[in-house]
Amino acid sequence: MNDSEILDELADILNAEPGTLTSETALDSVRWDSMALLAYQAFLRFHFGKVLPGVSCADFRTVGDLMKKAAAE
Amino acid sequence: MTERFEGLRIKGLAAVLPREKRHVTDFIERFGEETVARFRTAVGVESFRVAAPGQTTADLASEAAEALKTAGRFVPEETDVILFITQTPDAVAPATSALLQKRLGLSESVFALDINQGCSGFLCGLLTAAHFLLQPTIRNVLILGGDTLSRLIDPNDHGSAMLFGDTGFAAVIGRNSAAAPWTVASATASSEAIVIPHGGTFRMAGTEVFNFTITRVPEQIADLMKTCGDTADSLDLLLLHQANAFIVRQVARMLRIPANKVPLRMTDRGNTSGATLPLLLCDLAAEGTRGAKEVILSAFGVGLTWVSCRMRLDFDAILPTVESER
Repeated sequence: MNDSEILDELADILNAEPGTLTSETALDSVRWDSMALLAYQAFLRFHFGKVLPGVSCADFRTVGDLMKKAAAE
Repeated sequence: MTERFEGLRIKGLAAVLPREKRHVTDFIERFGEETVARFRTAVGVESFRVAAPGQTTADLASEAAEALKTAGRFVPEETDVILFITQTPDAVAPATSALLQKRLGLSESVFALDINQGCSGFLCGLLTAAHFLLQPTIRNVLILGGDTLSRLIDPNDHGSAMLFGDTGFAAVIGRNSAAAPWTVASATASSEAIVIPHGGTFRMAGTEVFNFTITRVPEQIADLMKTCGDTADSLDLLLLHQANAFIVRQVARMLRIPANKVPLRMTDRGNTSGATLPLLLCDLAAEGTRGAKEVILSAFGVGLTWVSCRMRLDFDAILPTVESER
């Protein structure tokens, strides 16, 4: 999955219009709440096999922070 | 495991809702405005139906069977097996299916069996019926089921008190040599994440169930699609157990199936446990869905169990949802 596809997925998770997110987008400008965090964790687990135990919304500040977890090995 | 069955079809399907309606706003006094508002947004339920005092799951399922009989889709004299699938049988003993044999005018030569299953119930019933129909002398299998979970809910647990509705259903499974094959994937992972202890109320470890659902269910469906050579384009519908709106949206998104192919009909239904798929199909029939559709049905829940079935489904065999006459 490339960055563009990841951004599309994150737009859906964050209830943002497709194509409007960049890695600099602040999460306090979109719907980043406990439900979005659950959806994000599900996305990471299903597409990348990654589990993030014990994280909270406050651990992420920008869309780029979310993208890094998907990219990081 | 994954199994393939030839020449089977759903010959009739009906779902019956109780008449009494409960609105989630009725719970504001108990749970507070904010909790109810959050629930409405995340779960997608505004109201649900509950069985009348004394009205059992078997009563609702029997009404569904009678509707099929009236429509000429259930013929007692041509039925050899009756399955009753529920977590809320009329009694611990005898098996409710044994009592339904006489009530529905079936002969004494039928084989009657109760199956204890929850949200996967309808698909477990289809799979069991498919196995019975491997025996050539069995002509048709009547599957009855549903739940009246509203009687087993802790009224102070907002997560379940506002979620579960009651419904009964009936389906007739038989043969059609021209029918497209069914491919069924099923799995079980021993877990007490969802329990209803003897004399107790429904309890669910929400995080565990959520994590199970959003990983294992899309994996199973993705594998099934691969086995059957399917893509998002080749499927007309992905019909998911209506657990809650959030889960349905997440599973659809992970599989990249467009939302218009993944119907969600929980707003005035709630989660009706093993009856959500029959109720969804009957609701779609009521909205005018007709003809044959290429579908995957998928259900998941207590056990934990998860079952997905690829078939060509004839909506002309499905009756619109009806309300109980009681």
